[in-house]
Amino acid sequence: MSLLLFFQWLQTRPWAVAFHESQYIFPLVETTHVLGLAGSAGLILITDLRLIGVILREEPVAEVMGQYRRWMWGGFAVMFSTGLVLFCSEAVNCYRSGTFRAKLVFLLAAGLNALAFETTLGKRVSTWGNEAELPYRAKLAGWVSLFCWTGVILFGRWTAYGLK
Amino acid sequence: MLLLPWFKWFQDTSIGSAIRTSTYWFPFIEVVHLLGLVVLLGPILLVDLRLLGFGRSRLPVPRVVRAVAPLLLAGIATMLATGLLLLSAEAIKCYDNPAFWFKMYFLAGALLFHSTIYFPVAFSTPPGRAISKITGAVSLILWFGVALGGRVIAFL
Repeated sequence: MSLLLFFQWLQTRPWAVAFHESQYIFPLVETTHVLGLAGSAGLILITDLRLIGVILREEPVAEVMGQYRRWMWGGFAVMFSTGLVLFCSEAVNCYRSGTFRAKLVFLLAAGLNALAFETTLGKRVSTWGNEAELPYRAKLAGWVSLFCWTGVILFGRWTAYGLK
Repeated sequence: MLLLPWFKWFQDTSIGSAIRTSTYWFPFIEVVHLLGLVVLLGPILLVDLRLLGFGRSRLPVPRVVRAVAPLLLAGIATMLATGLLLLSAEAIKCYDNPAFWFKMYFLAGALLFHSTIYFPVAFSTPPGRAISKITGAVSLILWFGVALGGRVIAFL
């Protein structure tokens, strides 16, 4: 309940109301959110497919990721910051939305998967990442990421339909 | 005006009517359209960034292009197929929407650019040269225009 009160407070801040009712800034931020998502998810997809063993099998994982790692995180930062602003302006509706909760679960799972990967396997990528066939834990991380991000996009889009 | 009868016909096809009258088909197809964008943008961004000279990697660009080309084609095919279905549901609305035409011009430009200049340059020129950088930048601008126009269609 206290969370709902907080979201009610958040959503009624003058800046949140002004943002939500603005003719151009809201669509602009939402468009940036979608493009940031599509860009970073596209690069995450390349990583996942390499880990699973679908593309660039002959190339070391470190070399594949080194091409775009910063841009992937940059896109993620854009997506996250714009998402936060969008959330603030519709906090109560998001809180009540089942699809939004599902999206957060998938996002959290994707984040934990990435964190687990980065802190263990990712640290010693040079010891295992040069083979075409990767250890099963790396493959699993790729599959989990693919699954979670599909869920994030699916439920994210569906949330927007519900809020209309 | 020349195309208006075609748009009318397209909207009146049984597929168009079916999608329009159903509650779930349109959002479902649109989500697949969005997933197609992700599949398309991954390879595009990767190759364009490399052509522009970004990214620390010893991987030669032609090898990267060859590896991600099927993904790129799959993304384009998904987007065109779902895009046509979405169009059939609201063809007249799109016809009157400037953002739709903005998107179509950029899409035509992007497809033309990729089927003529883009791949030869990506396959032959080492990244960092002026021609590679221009090719990467033009591709980014064209696809950005497509995505931007696509998003704005819903706002107009």
